[in-house]
Amino acid sequence: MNRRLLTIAMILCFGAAAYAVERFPPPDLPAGYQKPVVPNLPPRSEAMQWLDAALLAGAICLSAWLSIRLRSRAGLIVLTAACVAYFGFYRKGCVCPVGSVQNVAAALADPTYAVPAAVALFFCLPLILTLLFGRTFCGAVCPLGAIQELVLVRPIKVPAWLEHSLGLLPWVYLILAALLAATDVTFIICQYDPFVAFFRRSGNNLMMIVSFCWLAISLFVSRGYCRFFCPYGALLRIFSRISWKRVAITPSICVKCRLCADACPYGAIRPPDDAKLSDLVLARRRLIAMIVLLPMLVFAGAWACSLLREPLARLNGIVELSEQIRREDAGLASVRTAASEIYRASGRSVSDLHAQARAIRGKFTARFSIASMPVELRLEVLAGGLAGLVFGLKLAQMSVRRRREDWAPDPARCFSCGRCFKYCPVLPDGKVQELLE
Amino acid sequence: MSENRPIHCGDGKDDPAGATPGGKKLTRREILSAGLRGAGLLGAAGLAGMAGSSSAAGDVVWQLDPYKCIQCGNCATYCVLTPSAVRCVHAFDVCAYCKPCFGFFDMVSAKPDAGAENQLCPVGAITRTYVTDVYYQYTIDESLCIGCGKCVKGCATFGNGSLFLQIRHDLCVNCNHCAIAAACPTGAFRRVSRKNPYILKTKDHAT
Repeated sequence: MNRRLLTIAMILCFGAAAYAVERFPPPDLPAGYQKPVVPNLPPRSEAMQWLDAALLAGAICLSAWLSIRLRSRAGLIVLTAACVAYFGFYRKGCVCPVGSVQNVAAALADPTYAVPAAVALFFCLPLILTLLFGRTFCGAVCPLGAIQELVLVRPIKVPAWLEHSLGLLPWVYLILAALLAATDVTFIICQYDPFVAFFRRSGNNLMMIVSFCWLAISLFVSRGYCRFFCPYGALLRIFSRISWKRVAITPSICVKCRLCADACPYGAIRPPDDAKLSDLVLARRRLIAMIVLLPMLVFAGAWACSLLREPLARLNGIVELSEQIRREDAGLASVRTAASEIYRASGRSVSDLHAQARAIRGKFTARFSIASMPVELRLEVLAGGLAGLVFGLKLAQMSVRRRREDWAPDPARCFSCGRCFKYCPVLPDGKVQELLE
Repeated sequence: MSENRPIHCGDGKDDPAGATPGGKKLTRREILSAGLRGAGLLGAAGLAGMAGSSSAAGDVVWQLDPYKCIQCGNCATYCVLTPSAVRCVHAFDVCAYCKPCFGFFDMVSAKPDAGAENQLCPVGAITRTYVTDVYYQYTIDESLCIGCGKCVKGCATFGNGSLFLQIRHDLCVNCNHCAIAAACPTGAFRRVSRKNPYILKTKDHAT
């Protein structure tokens, strides 16, 4: 019996596609036999996602209330821990606003791409609330920021030049992530998420290593990810600059004791600047020079990125596999990779794979029409131009000089963590607290 | 504070302390800032609305299409969860109840008896039970399964293809972008409606 079945199987399987074939007729099972039923459990209900969005908005508002009104560092720490527990460990760090940028970019490029309503809310709620209250989302709510806030033991001071240069990385990362999401190559922010493997206590080797490194870094570099990497933070920085309300260090007046600046681990508190008129004139001249430089930087960025189309497309698994198979077929690769062997053995055609890879490469060119005029836009060139623009604007911004009377947080870099409150010796009535000892 | 306003203003920044002097006339900078704030609010809401409007059909979750699956083994290794949220599912309506099951036995080994060394499943998640002299039932213990797809490959190559992989939604954390989807060589992963989250093999499809 065994051998007969085996022979039939062998005969049937040759020449037939390797999948989805009913080779054997349904058996005559005995009358009393009951087929087992496999339960297919439903996913987490949709209502829970709305709850998540509501909790996110609530937590940001609470963080704003604690930092702007109540000025309570202790309250903020409790909220931080609660947010790590809920958004981090319970919700396993996903969906997060940081990653939602990619969904929005993908949806803008491809109108048929469905962004779940909860993801759209996760994208816009922190942005809107940052416009109102400053970066209170970063301060205590974002699980990625919150975990760094909690594990910081000994912050090292980052020199200003390094702070400014590394501060450009989030922009580069944001533009790159948006480009790769819009072209359907990959969601790079999720792929290199700093803490999600830690929240889940599982993940592939790469994610585990990345998580472990970021945890080790955050012991000494205060919020290294937020300051020098977070692509969503780049957006929040500009939004925070023009926020309606924001954290104030002193409850009434500044006595210029600079205790707050020493307390801030992020170097976000700027000293007073009593710039003379000649300084301001010089600064303005430098600003004009930078603005003149701006178009050149835009062109340089666009040109540099126009060379990156193929390397970027290769980040996609399908494109990479298709290239590998092409190399192997042309005799350029000496060994076949495991992925290529598996694909070839699957019975699917190689030309099908090449077509898929071509489709992904094709997404780098956006085609649309303005007033019935067909327009072709190379997205990588657009991204490069944007990167150049960001570099230029950063240089321009650095050459702006303004008179400042008091020690005050830079709204773009202040995370509303509330560490400075405790160190400010001024009381709400304007009197200075007697320093004990 | 405000008598020391700088001579030039061009970057749209407000006074860092955010302390608007009470009853004072609004400065140019403050008006600019308010304008930008309004634009930002509209922009963020508009962008989210544009992105979210395409999802009006309903919410989506990840699922893999078993008819596109080539059992490459990525499901077991690329999932952010260990063991993977992808498990093997058995469609009993498609199964031929073969006595020598190609999803169960490692055909390289000489003896087709149910000893562990002869089984294909690396974790022993498949149980073989007697039904009649020629028919045997194969049941998957999903709590043991790691989603490697070895049995799926055996069944698809020599049998009816009744064993197939599925994302189990009680385990899946529904990542923003599924890590296996990014690694899948045939694009078998796609977003499906939350109301109908499984792509199951049934009798009708086995053609």
